Amino acid sequence: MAVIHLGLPLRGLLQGQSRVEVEAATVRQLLDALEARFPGVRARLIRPDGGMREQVRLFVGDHDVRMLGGLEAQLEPGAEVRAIPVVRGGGLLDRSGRG
Amino acid sequence: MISIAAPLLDALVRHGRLAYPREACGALLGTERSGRKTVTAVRPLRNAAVGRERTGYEIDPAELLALERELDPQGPLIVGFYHSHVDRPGHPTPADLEHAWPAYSYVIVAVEGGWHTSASSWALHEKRGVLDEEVLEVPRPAAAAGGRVEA
Repeated sequence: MAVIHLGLPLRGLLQGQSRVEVEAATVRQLLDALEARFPGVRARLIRPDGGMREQVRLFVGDHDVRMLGGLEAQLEPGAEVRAIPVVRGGGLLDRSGRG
Repeated sequence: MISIAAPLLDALVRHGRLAYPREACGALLGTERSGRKTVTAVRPLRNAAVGRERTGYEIDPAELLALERELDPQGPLIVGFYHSHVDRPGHPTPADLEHAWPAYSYVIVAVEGGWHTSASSWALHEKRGVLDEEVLEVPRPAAAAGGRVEA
């Protein structure tokens, strides 16, 4: 059993829950199981082609799943997975044209 | 709508002024009920947009992960983020919109010449693909429940 924690933007899709326990041995299985229970969640976390979205990072424990093999990253029993939004933005291009 | 007690909003503004001419950023912690958010603490975070801090900001996902893990599941949650604009208006830029998530509030503090000029809060309207300005309520200390500015 693994646990996924999701922040405020995705809680509406989880009927208000912030954490969900899922039987899964890999991140892919976790997302599939989550999608089966809460349709629409997976598309928020990964692209249709299975790639990682630029707007979010998935962590297993302290590690970014991209460093662990992506969606095939293994989940130990009790693994904690968190979806962390990428937060960036700010002012405009400076006078040299660099952003 | 978002409510930020005056001392907490002052802390955001101060952070923006101190960071000038670089952009400041941080997280807003609090409660959310039926779309109404109340900020009870602010957490200044490092601007990880190294080399372009004058024109942008980025919060290190690892730092945000640490903050998420630190929060008590029964306590305040992250309800939004703030950042400053340096010598720019306090309106969201395309870069702000590109990475906006629904449900979060995004407070922008405009700092011009080292002095704060405005503070406003914005929320993503997903269907229209825009950041709409939302009501920013600023209760005075006597009316507010207090708040916490974290180091």
